[in-house]
Amino acid sequence: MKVNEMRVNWIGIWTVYLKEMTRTSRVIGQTIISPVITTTLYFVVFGAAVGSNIDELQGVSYGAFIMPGLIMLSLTTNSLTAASSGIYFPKWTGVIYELLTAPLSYFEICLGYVLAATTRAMIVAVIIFLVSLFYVDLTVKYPLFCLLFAFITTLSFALFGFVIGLVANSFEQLSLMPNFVITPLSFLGGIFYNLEMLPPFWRNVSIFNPFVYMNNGLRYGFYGITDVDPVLCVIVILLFTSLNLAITLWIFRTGFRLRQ
Amino acid sequence: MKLALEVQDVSKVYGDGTKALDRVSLDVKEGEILALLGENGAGKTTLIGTICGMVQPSSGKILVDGVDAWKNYREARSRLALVPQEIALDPFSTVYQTVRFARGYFGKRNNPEFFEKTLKDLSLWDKKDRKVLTLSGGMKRRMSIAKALMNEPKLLFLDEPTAGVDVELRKSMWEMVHELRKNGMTIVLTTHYLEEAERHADRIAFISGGSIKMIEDKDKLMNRFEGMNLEEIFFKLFDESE
Repeated sequence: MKVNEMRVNWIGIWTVYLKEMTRTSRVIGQTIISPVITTTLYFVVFGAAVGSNIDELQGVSYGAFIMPGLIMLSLTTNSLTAASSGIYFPKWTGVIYELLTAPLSYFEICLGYVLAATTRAMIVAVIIFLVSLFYVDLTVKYPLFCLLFAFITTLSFALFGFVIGLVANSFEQLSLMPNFVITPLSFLGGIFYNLEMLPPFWRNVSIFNPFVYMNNGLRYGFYGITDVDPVLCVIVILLFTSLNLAITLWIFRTGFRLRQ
Repeated sequence: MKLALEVQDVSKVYGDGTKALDRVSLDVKEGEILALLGENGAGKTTLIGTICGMVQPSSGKILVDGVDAWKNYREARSRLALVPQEIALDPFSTVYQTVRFARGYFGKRNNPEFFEKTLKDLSLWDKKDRKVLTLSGGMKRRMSIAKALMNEPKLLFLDEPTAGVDVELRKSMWEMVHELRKNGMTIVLTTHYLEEAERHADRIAFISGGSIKMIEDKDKLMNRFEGMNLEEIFFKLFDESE
């Protein structure tokens, strides 16, 4: 391999990132404000209104209990949607040729999109967190763990979204995964309840839902409480990230759906 | 004469078995304008795609300025640019953002002076803050060229550059092509307007059924078929190859 083959096109990666962030800011109502309002509504209705009539769960108020799960729901759906639409739109318009004819590797293209999607989702999550402080008193127990756990999960879902964007052949296909898989699994992953509240059968079924580990992992970072071992939460999210990375690399190797 | 492009025995077979290119070999000399002519589906766009990085060739070798276009793609692609047949632009970006991003993808630093000069040359400077969506068809076509020029390429591919363009714009586009060539750029173009190829190209290549049927210096070709225009020559050669 020649030296210039190993060179990284940093400006190219930054440009892909910048273009995506420009797209995000151009439709800020759709990309930032809308998810913040939606999640805040969940928080106000379930946390503040309904939650005021519910006893503490695992030593924290109901509003505080559901907050990490709602943030995780926002992180996963927003990063997935941002990355999938990010790569799908140029495929759809034909603008993808700009990237394919540029001195950019698949990995560099992916990195630009995935980092932009991660940034967008993290911005939304931070705003939701700040808004939630108006409704609940809380102290974050392990802030660094929270940040790292949230970042890796978001990155992983951005990778997943990138793959969906590559595979999708229509806007409808693009929305299948978030609407029919991510949101239901996330809701059933213990955002609004702890596993002990479920009947034994459903508790056992929940063990196979990766969102149980994501929601509990972040809740552990916030309050030090969790239904499952926090180490297991980290292992599950690392495995999920590795799986997404492996699929992405395989797709790159075959040039699948990008190059003819 | 130094070669800007060497295509050696390049074939492309798609997954469904369609053979789009069949052992195509072609040299393009530095500083020349080569017109690649052929009927629809002859393989012109596929051939350009294999050179520019959009279509992975099944076999063969492509050298851009002596650099392998696939093994050493970074180096090769930093020397070429493509103006595609279909206008493909991000409708929501502004004119200025479009050229800025286009340059960035090529790994080149922001250059406001260069952006201004290029957009002025293409009469787009006064539209720089407008969204691409709001531009007319002719402006979008010029926008595509502006994007390609952001790489400051040595080798420029123009795939049907004057398709659907009015007479006035066609004239100005050809003037620009000659200006670029004068500045040392090598140009490979495809066109269905054979009279344009006859007027502007240095050499002519005929492609049919995925293979090059003939490549010749335009003046020699016109002399060989004395009394015929390029369109008549094209149909004669095309009929012979059938």
